[in-house]
Amino acid sequence: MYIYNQFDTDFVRQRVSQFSSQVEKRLNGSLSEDEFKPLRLMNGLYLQLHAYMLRVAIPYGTLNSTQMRHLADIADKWDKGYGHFTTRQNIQYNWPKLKDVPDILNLLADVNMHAIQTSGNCIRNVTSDHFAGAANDEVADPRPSAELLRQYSSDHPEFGFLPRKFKIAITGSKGDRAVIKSNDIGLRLMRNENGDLGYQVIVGGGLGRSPFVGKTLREFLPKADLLPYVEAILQVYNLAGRRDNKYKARIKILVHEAGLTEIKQHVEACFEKQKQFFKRPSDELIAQIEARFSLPVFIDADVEVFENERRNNVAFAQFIETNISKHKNSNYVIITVSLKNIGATPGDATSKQMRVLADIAKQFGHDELRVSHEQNIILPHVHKSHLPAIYRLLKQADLASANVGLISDIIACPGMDYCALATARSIPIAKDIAKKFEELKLEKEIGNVQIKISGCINACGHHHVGHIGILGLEKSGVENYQITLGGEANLNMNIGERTGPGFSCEEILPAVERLIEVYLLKRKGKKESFIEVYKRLGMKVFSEALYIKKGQENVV
Amino acid sequence: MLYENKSIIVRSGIFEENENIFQKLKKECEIELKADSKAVDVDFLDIKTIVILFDSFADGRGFSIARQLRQFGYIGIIRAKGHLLADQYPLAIRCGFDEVEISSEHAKRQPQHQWSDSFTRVKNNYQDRLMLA
Repeated sequence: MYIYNQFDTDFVRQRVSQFSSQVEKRLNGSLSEDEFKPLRLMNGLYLQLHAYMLRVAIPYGTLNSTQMRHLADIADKWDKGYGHFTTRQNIQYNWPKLKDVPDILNLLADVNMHAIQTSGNCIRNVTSDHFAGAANDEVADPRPSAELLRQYSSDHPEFGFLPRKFKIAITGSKGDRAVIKSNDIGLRLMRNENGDLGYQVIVGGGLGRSPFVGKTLREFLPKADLLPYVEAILQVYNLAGRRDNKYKARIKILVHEAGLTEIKQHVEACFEKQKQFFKRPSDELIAQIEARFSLPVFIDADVEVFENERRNNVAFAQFIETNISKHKNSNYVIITVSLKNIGATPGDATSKQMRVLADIAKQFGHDELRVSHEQNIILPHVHKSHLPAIYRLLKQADLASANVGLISDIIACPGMDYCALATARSIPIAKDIAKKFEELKLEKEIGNVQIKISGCINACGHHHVGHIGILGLEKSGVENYQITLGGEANLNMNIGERTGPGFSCEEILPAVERLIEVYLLKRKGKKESFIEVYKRLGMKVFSEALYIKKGQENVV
Repeated sequence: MLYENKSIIVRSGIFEENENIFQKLKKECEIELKADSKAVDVDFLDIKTIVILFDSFADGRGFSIARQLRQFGYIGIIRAKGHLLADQYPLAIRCGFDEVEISSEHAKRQPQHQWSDSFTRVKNNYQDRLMLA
């Protein structure tokens, strides 16, 4: 993984001292609250419902064991012993005090971490495929491009005060585990007919209150043109994006209102101009970055211990079935460690769990960890012979839930339990659904289904792209949950369709149960997943089950 | 007292009362651009000073306008005028601005040392390191 050089280290230290001086300026009145706000946001500090929230960047979701241990230390010292991993592959602390924030940032800087540009109207922390460099289906490793973009976007002088936040995601595979079409810019590494490496460039995707699937701006952009092209998109957006209404300020609205053709003309014209002035990064610098992402030295060992355990331990075999993905090296696997224990808050990990994950990564995982946008933790390089030992350690730490991709592997935003914007709770709904299907012992039978829950229309829980999406709103002082069906979070990203009127807090779990009942009844065998049945049959059978039964219940 | 009723020009961390500047520039051409101006619309090459207005520090369009002017080959003075924070000074310089004009009220709140401190952050940035123009 990328290792900071002296320049990177100095940059982060400079930012810590700059932020300390900004806090000071706020306290002595040099900065008004309105002026301080965007500056603190650009350093990851939000004011939440109960306290400040600090969002720490985990660039493209990649970290090592030492960094993970520091995250655990921060959770113990300045939070309540846990942290929350987010859908943008970052970690949030919900209980820091303003006066402690510079100390926290200094501790992070000790291990080359920071909270820079995790919020604010600037280019946010770049996200990527959490299996990058390990997956067996990738055209090229997206991390060197992600790192180049991280450097390029850090404290960019021109783009620190954009109309609104700006998110970039990159994938190196057709599988698209980074949901690139839901970002302001989505990039997919690909090869053209000559075999040259480049990017498909997608623009104007986003969730939030007006969801859009990103549109292709360039079918193929040569690899060397990445920065000037991204710069052209940003310059067009910075000058033309709406600033009169924050809900219409994202680039998706500009693309929607001006039309893709017009945006393309402007971007291409700007790109032609940029290319004349833009000195590209030197080949040496690119090579230096790429060298940091070379594969670890894989071990060569017998895998019999793994096969034996799989035959003799049912729970282990089940874990392998759900939580393991294919690795480039056939004797290796990728482990997804679920942070979705039944009854727990999705994405939360205790400091103890973080240390266990760090230990495992250090001892067995070539010292690498990833955070996925699904709010799970990934061990990207694990030799099969180590799986039994790892499984035992995970189990002891309550981290061995065999539910990846199943109904209890829910994405949920913090909701009204933490967030100042939320209009309804999302965590308790996620917990109820997970508990219910655990009681029914139906999870494995149901198979892959993605439930995503947001506690307000800003859609941080990605409900638009859930196979079953749940959106919590407030109606005359009461929580009301709308259901959408058919959303998909992959390269065929699709925005779910609303079923009809919403459900109360008490009704939402039975409603989800009815949807699953219909699915089990209608599917052509276990191989046909929930989303496949929905695509085959459409909304009608599902909405009938939702609403007719609801009416009957009322009559009774 | 110091900055009473005069706007202040910040240039490389130095404060100058605006009057002096205007004395110097009296006979020279100066134009003001609003944030929604398009740099390409301006026939600017023989203009001595281009002033770009910042109604709000949160509106970053002025940064792009300045950068475009430099890319088009403008070599005169570019001044940011209005609501710009000392913390944004290095960004402005890096986008091609030469100086910033702020109100006397603002100069009292954010005095000279804040601007000169901030100026030290012009160096050591990623974009120069990546050799961007």
